[in-house]
Amino acid sequence: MSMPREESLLEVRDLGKYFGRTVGCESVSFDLWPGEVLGVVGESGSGKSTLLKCLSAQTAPDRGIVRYRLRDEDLCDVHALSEARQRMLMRTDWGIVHQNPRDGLRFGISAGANVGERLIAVGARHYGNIRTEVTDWLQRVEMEQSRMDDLPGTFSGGMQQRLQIARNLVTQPRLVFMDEPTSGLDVSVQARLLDLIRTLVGTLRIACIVVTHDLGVVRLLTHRLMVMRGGRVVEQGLTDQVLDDPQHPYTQLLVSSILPV
Amino acid sequence: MEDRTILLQATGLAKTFTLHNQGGIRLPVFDALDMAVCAGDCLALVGPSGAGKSSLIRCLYGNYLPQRGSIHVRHREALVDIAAVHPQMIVEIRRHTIGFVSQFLRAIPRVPAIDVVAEPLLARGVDAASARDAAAAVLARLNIPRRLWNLAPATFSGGEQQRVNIARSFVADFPVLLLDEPTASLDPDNRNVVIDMIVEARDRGAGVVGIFHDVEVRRAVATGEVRMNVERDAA
Repeated sequence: MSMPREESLLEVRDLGKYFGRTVGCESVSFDLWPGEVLGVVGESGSGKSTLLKCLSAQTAPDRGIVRYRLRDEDLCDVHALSEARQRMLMRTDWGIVHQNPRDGLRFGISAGANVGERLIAVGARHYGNIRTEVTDWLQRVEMEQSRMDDLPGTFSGGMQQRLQIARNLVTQPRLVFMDEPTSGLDVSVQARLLDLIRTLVGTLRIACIVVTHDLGVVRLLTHRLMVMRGGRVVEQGLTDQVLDDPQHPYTQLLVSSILPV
Repeated sequence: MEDRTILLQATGLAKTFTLHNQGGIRLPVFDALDMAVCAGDCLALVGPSGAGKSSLIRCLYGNYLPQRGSIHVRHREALVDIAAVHPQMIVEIRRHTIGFVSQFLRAIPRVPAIDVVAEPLLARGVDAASARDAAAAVLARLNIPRRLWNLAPATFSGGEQQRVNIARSFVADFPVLLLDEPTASLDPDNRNVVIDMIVEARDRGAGVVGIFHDVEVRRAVATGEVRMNVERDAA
């Protein structure tokens, strides 16, 4: 198989996580390249959220390895890093967009502070620069500047999600994990948010792993797709190929179960 | 001297659908199919409905997975087998080498037509202003009224959507073009524009594979044919 020439950003080999005798996820292996968007689909209990937690160092796997290429080009074993270095990675190189904005935002501080806080965490100190950068990012996620000093609790679900994206992208991460980023939103808001994510991720060449059960989201956002069932990857490939010519019985069932509009 | 560089070549290609949730029914589409497209060629796929013309085009684009055979495409001077490469390479091949006009535009909600058309250039790293200028030129040539350019194509008529679709694939001068009924829902004037654009693509040395049900269009653009027949039911 001819491989891309560029060096991979993430290498996952034989990843497994068990809860007692229950399989969380098992035998998961893949590579991710800079700028590539990978979708992970499957129904509830398929292991996709467990996989995301293992990949993003929120949970320790029971077997296998997750290697991430640091900015100095060395591959590091994510789970062998000290907790302090893991936290540093999450603050600088990685972003995590949670399904529920309450898990990704601080509701006790203003919208602007939610974004500025990440900048301060990576060492920004000059108030004026931080303010300018925050304003710029709120604009990029299409939020009115007049809402900058409001608390996130006063925002709609779609605005909270856009704020969460700004908070994550402001430090220019190279890898962003997204867990059902649009599933709590009205359909009208979903399309706008998806287009925003697609544009930002594309222009900034951010690699992304998007976990969702929504095949429409996957088609719009991702280049490559993994289909999970019972903790295992049953099929993976180019997103439109997997959706338009699924090979595995389970993927065929998933694709044929979409209700026509 | 004529340039006979092979741009796209399928060898021993076979496609069968297996419907696992419908009793494992197997639907053979084509088998042992060979074809080659050189620079300046436009091959028309000909045959009755159900002969697998669209399935072949989709295999050539990496959208369908063939069961056997190879599909070599000339990508950055080297021949690469689409049927065997890593998916990430297909994304790269689609960005630079193969353009595809499907029968229907899969519109991205809320993205203006001009940005839909400019996207293939942006993906190649062309700056936003030049990409929009190029998109505007193709939209104008295909007679899409200027007042529609900044609207999302979801509300356009069938013919307008199809022209946006065509514009998207002709904006970027792809070396290989795959066209699935590009003129199906177009009026005669716009059909003629598309004929001109296909002939120009041939003249600049592109290799084209297309399905053209309209005989006049086929006569005007095709330099050769690939005949396809319906696979017989297994005895």
